[in-house]
Amino acid sequence: MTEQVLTTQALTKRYGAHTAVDRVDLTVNRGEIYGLVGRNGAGKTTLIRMVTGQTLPTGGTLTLFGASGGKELSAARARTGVMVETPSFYPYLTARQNLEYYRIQRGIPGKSVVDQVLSEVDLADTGKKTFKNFSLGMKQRLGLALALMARPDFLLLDEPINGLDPEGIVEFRNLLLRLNQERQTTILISSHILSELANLATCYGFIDNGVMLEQISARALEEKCRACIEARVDDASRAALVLEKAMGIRDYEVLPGNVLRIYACLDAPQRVTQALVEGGVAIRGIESRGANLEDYFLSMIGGVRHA
Amino acid sequence: MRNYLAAECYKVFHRKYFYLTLLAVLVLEGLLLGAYWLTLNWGNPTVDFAFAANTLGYMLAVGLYAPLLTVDMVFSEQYKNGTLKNEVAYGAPRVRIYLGKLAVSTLVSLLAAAVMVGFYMGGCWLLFPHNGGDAQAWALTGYLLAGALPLWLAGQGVVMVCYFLVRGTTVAAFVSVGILGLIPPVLQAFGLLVTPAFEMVRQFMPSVMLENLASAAAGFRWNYVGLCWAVGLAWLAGAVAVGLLAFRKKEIK
Repeated sequence: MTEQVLTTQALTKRYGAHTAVDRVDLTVNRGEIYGLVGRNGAGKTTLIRMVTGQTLPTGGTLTLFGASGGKELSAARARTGVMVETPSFYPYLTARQNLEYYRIQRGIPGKSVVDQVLSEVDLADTGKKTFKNFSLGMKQRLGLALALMARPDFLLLDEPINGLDPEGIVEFRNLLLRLNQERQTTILISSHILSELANLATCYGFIDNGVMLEQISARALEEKCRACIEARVDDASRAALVLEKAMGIRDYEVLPGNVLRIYACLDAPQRVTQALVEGGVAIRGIESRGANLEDYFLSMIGGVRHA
Repeated sequence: MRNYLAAECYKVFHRKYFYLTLLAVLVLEGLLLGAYWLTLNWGNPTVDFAFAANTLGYMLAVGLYAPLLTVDMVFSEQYKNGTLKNEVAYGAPRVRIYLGKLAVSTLVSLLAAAVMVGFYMGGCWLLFPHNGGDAQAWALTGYLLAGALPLWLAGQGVVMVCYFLVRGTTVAAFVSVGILGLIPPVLQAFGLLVTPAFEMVRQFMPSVMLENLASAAAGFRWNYVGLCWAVGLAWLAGAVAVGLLAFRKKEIK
């Protein structure tokens, strides 16, 4: 049976009359990289803040590693690594001092852990430079180092690639993939840079106006977004036979409402049209379709808005 | 909790703030001792060890407001720096966070107080003549410190609750000074204008009790020291209760 790392049921957060998170049901299974997709202000950060205990839910339940309250939930949070919004550290301490402070506080054994994790995020050579003098990218890396320091079972990352340069983004992606594959670290990552999520996520949750619109696996999403020629005809089954006979096409799908999706000959839709006409099929409409994650999300929230 | 306390100590003692502040205070004490020493050398016969040591009573109020600095050292502008989320998100219970910071700031205050009092008394001992009143002076110093300590703890509790509940450090410091230093004169005015009950309440304000302790020190009223402990600890307990209650549900950004 799949182990559930995080589940929320009807999780809600209200600020006065404004509902930031509205009865969200979410499930993150062990080993998944869960991409939380939403516009700015959609409720992603508030949702993550409730998981991390920074803010208390107004309603609903939250279960982390099987714990849903009290000391058990605190203990469960110790198994997580968190990076929410801008990484925050003491400005007057160096990278090493900041991490050493949290290492002591969290009771993580072995001073070498700090140097090890600093090397992993390429901050081993920052010396006496204090956090206040770090660039945004360096701050992001240090935030990631803190999240990784305790070798967490579950990483919660809110907009983690903000401020990273292209090289840093690639390194960061590879690091997450390595953690996920080698240590089976479960990852929940929120971002509005959807192309980046598409390179990582094995599962998606789409959130808008505090409401979870859909949870879908990357495979199912890929299937939904697969490029095709979609024809609306008078008889889809007959049209399929015509195409098989005339063009040898076998990669198609007959959908209800006499809709035929053709996954072959994508570069020659006019040939498909011609074959159907010559086969006596009445065409009501025909179009090339296909979407990436961004298109899918935008179609879900109903228009072009900034994701 | 032990890890938490160790981490807070690591943070405080790995920055210059503590050392520079302490140095500044010691320089001021040095100037005061130097001024006494000059008057002694200019022929003032009243300056001796007992005289200089007894002036400690006038400096007790420093201990009441010192937490503005020691709490700041430990709290380290957590709201401005956004660092509290790193603790909460890792599952550190909020009670531990609150009590841990209170304990370490108290420890820092006590350490600073020990250095400051030690430096001052040591300076008095070395610089000034000993004319026979030494034992009395030491006893008086012990008496004053015994009474002042719980009132300083009250100040510690009040400043801590303000730093935890008010997001801006400057505003938190103003609110702390308001509670500790401005409420007594207001109560005094109300006592004169409205009802003497306000004056009775004023007598239980830490700053007023420190004044009373110092002004009647020569009488060695040990029962008043007992009252200082009862009132000081009550203030501390009250402040901690308010702080914990409010911080329990506070949103951390």
